[in-house]
Amino acid sequence: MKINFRIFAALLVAGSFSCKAQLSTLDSFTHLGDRFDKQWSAGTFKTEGKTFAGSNSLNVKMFNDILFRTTFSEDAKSKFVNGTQKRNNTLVQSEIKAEFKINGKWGVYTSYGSIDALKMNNDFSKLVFFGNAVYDNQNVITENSKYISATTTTIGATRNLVSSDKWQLKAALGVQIASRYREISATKLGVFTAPRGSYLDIEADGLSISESSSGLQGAGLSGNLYGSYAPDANSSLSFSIDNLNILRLNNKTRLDLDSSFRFTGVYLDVLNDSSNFVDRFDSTYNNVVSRSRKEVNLLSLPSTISLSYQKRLGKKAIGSVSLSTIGIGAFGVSGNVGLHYTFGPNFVLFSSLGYGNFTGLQWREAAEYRTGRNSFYLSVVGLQSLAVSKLTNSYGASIGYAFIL
Amino acid sequence: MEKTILSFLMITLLFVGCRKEKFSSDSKWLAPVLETELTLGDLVPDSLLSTNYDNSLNLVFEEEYGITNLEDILKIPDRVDSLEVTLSSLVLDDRSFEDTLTLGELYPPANLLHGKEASVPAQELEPNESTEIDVSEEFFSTATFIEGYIDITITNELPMEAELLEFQLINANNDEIVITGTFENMAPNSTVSKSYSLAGKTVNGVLELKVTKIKTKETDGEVTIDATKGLIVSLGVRDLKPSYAKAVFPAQNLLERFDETKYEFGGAKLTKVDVKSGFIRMRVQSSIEEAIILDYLIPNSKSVKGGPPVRREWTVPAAKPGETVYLNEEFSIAGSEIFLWGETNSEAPLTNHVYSELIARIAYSGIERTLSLQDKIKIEFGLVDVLPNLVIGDPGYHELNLDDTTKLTIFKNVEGNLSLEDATLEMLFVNSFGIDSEIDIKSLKGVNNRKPNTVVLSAEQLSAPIFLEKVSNSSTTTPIEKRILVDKTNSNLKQFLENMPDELQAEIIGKVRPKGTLDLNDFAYDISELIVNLKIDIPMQVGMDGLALKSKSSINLFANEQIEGVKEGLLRITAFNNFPIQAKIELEFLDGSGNVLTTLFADGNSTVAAAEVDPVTEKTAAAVESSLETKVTRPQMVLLKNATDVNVKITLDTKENTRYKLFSDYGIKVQISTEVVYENKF
Repeated sequence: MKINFRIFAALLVAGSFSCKAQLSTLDSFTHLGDRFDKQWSAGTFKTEGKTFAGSNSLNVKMFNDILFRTTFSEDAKSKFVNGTQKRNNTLVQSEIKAEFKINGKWGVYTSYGSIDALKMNNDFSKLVFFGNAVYDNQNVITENSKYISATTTTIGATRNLVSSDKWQLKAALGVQIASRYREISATKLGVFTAPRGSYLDIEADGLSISESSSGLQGAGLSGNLYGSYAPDANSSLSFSIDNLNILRLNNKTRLDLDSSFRFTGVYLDVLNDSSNFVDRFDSTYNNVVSRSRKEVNLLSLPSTISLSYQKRLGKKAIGSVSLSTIGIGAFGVSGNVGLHYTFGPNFVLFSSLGYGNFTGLQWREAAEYRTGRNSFYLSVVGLQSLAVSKLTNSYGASIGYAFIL
Repeated sequence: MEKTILSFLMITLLFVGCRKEKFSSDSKWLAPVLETELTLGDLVPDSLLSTNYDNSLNLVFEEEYGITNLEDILKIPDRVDSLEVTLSSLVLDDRSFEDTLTLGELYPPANLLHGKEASVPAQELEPNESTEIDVSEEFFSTATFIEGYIDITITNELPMEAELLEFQLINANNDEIVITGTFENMAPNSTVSKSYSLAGKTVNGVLELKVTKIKTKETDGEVTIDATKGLIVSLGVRDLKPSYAKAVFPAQNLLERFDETKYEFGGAKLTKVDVKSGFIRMRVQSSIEEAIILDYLIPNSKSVKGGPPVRREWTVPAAKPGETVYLNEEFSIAGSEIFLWGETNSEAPLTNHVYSELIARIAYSGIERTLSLQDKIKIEFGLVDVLPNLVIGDPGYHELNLDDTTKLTIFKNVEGNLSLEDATLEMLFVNSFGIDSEIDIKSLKGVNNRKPNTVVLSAEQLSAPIFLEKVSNSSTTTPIEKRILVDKTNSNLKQFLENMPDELQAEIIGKVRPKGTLDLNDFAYDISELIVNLKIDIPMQVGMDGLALKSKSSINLFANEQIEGVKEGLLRITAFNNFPIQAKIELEFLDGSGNVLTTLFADGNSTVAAAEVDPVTEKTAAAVESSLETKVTRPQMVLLKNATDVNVKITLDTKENTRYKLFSDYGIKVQISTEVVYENKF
C-alpha cells in the first residue's frame, strides 16, 4: 500500500506524538494525560525512558539481530537486500529523561538521548551495508542523502508560563553536551564498479563529512516548548518543540568534496617503493582530503516538532490525531490516529495506528496505572513485529514512572 | 518511594542502554588495489642496458681491475726532523770608552800651579783610589765571556815621563778584579796600548778603574803646569763572544742547519716530485727572551712552476723569563716542484735527497735582553702529507696483486637455465704510466654460489701476460692500450655466462718495470693507471627454461586497522604482457622464524601468458592479457595476518626454450584487484 503522506498529514492537521490528552477526564493521568504539568506541584517527580528503531527498508529482525545476535541472520538480510524500496530511511532513537517540580512555577530536568538516522537511495545503502560486489558493472547513485549520529546529555530548568482552563504554556532551557557526533550529507554520491572491480568511478557532489573524534564533541543550549489550547470541554489542540538546540563544537572539522575521479589502484613502483599499500594510499589522497577540510564551529541537532488534536468521543473515549517531524522533515514525518479509553479513575489505555516515512506502519499500545501518588506507564510500538519481525519495519517501547502529590 | 524510583531507573537504564556488543556484518567489496608497469629497464639498471638501432637490447657489464692510484706503487713518507739545541753562539758589538786621569788628580798641588811655570818633582804615589767607569749603556749590563778582549790605551799628556802605572779594573758590584795591568816608561805625549783577554771572565757594566801605583820622573826644569791634562785612558772591547749576557744584542744568527734529508720510497729512486698537496711543518718551543726568526728554504725547488724556491719565514715571539713560547704551523707547498738530487746535481747523491736550509736568527731590537748559550730552542720541521701529481725517476720493480671478487647482483636471485645466443668479452689493457708495465690475468672465475658451480674462463689470448710499454716522454698524455676480444668462437664465454654467476673472481698480477731496467726518466702522474677493463656484452636474445627470479621481502599487510577487517577474498592479477616470456607466479608467506604459513597462486591459475613473436620482425605484435586469480580463504587470511615475510618466485620460460630478442619497448602492465569479504564491526 502506497500512502501519499503529505496529503495524509494535511488531513490530520494536528496531533500529539506522545498523545498527551488535555481533556478533563485525563487530568488525573501523568504520562497519557497532563496532570504533571497542569498541577505543577512542588515535590512531584516524573521520569520516562523510551527507545525506538524504525525504517521503511530495514526490517525489525535486523534490529533484533543487532541487539541479540552477533551478525545478521540470512533471511532478514535477504529480505532487506531483495526489497524494492527506492529509499532507505532509518531512524533509531533513545531517550531517558526526568523532571522534578521545585515549586509552583519552576522545575528542573535532565535528559540523555541519542539519535542515529539515515536516508539515502536504497541500493546505495545496500552497497554501504554489504559491499559493492553485487553491483559489478553497475552505477549506484544516491541523492539528497544524510546520515547523523549523536548522543547528548542535557540538564536545565523548566518554567510554567501559562496555566489556565483554556491555555497552558511550558518552557524548558538547559545546557546540552554532545558526547558523540558524526554527520554525513551529500547532494549526490555515485559509485560505478567496473567489471571485476578493475576500477571504481566515484562521483561526489556536495559531499560533506563531519568527522567524529573521541571525547567531548561540543556544548551549548537546548530548549523545549509545550503549549495547548482547549476551546471547549470536549476538544483541545496542542503543540511541542523538543530539543531546539545550538552547540559550539570542540575542534571539529568538516570535509567538503565536489569531485569525480576514477580509482584504478595505487600506482606502485614495485622495485623502488618500500612503503606499504596503506601508507601509499594515504600519501596519494591525504593532500586532497586536507585541502577540502574546513573548520566547523556551530551545530544544531535535529529537533522534534509535534502537533496534536483531541476530541472527546464519549464518556470514556477520546480520539486523537497527531503529526510529528524530526529535523523539520529531514529525518522523518509521521502521523497517528489514536484512542484513549479510561477504565475507571486509575487506568487508561491508549491505542494508535500511524505511519511515517522513517518508521513505516506503527501500531502502538500504551497504558498508565495510578495507585495513590504513584503512576506507572508502559508503551509498546510495533506489536505486530513480535509475530512477523521480518515483515515489519519498526518497534519501540517506553516505560515511565511519576510521583504526584 | 526511593526504592521504587531506584528500581524503575535501573530497569529504564537497562532498557535504554542495553545493547549487545561485538556485532559484526560482512560486506563484499570489489576494488582495484595496485597497478604497476614493468619494463626490462625497471628490472635491469639503465647502466647495464644499451639499446641497439632496432631497439633491441644488450646487457652490458663492465668491471675494471688495476692500479688507478699512484699511491699504490709509491708513497712519500712524512719526514720531520726534530732539533733541540742551545744557541751555538752569541756576539756583542765592538765598543770603546775613553777617560782622562788628570795631573791635578795625580798631583793635587798642580792645581795651585796651573798656568804657571814650575818644576814638578818625581812622584811615587799609591793612591788606591777608584774612578767609576759606567759602560752599561755602551757595552752591556753584565756578561760572561767565552772569548773577547779589552784593549787599554793610555796616552801620556803629562809634562813628565810616567815611569810606572799599575792599575786594576774592578767590577763595581762585587769588587771582583777583572784586569790587573802595568804600563811603564811612557814618555810625554806618547801612547801605549795593551790587550787583555776577557775569556772566562764575568764583566759588569759598572767598573772601577783603580790606580794602585803611579811613579813619574821629575820634569826637565820648569814647565808650564796644566792641571787638566794627564793620562788619557781608552777602553775598547772587541771580539766578544759571551756565554751569557744582559745586553742590547745586535742582529745575529743563532742557529744554522744545512742538511740533506734522505727519503725512502720503497725502492724507487726519484729525481723530482711535483707536489699536488702537502705541507712544511714547523713546530717550535723557545725559551729565548728574544724574538726568533726562523727561515726555512729548500733551495732546489720551485714554489710554483718556474717560480722562486720554496721558502718560508716564521717569527717566534720573545719568551718571558722562565716561560716557553710555542709556534705550530703548516705551510702548504701545493703546486711546488722539489728536486731530489740533494745540494747539487753534479755529484752524488742524485736521487731521494731533499736539501734544505734552516736558520734561526734574531734581529736588532734596541731592547736589552738576557741571552745565554744555555737557552734552548726545540724545532720540528720537515715535509708532511705530501701527495705528488708527478714523480720523475725510477719507480723500482713492483709486483702488485690485483685480485678482486665482484658481486654480480643481476643473477643474484635467479635460478634455472638461461640460454644465450651470443656474448662477447672485450678486454682493454691500458698503461698511462711513463713506466713499462705488465698485466697477467692468472684466472677469471664465474661462481654461482646458488648451485653451487664455478666456471673458469678459458681463452687462448689470456695464456701469456700482456706487456704494456711506457708512455712516451714526449707525449705523456697518450696512454698505451691493447685490446683482446673473447667470444664464443675462441673461448668458453657463453658457458661462463650461462652459469649465471653471482660472483666474478679475478686473479690478476700487475707488474711495474717488469724488465728491471733503471731509467731515471720514468715518470708517473697521480692520474696514471695500469688497468684492464672487462666489458661483457650480451645481446638480449635469450631463451629461458624455468628461469626463476626469487626475492624475499618483509611485509606488514595488516598493520592498518582498516585492512584488519578483511576476512577472506579473491586476489586477481590482470596482466598485459608483451614480453615473449611466460611468467608463473608463486607467493609464499613466512612467519618470523621462516616457516611457510601459506602459499598463494600455487594452483594452476598462476601463469602470465607470453606474447607471440612475429617471425618476420622477431618482435611481439601486441600485449597478451592474462587474468590470474587466487582465493584467500578465511584460515589463510588468519595466517597472512601473522606473516612477516613473503617469498616471491617468478618462473620465466620462453616457448620451447627458444631464444628471443628483447626490445626496449617491451613491458608488462599489471593491475591487482580484490574481491574481499570485509567485517564491519559495530
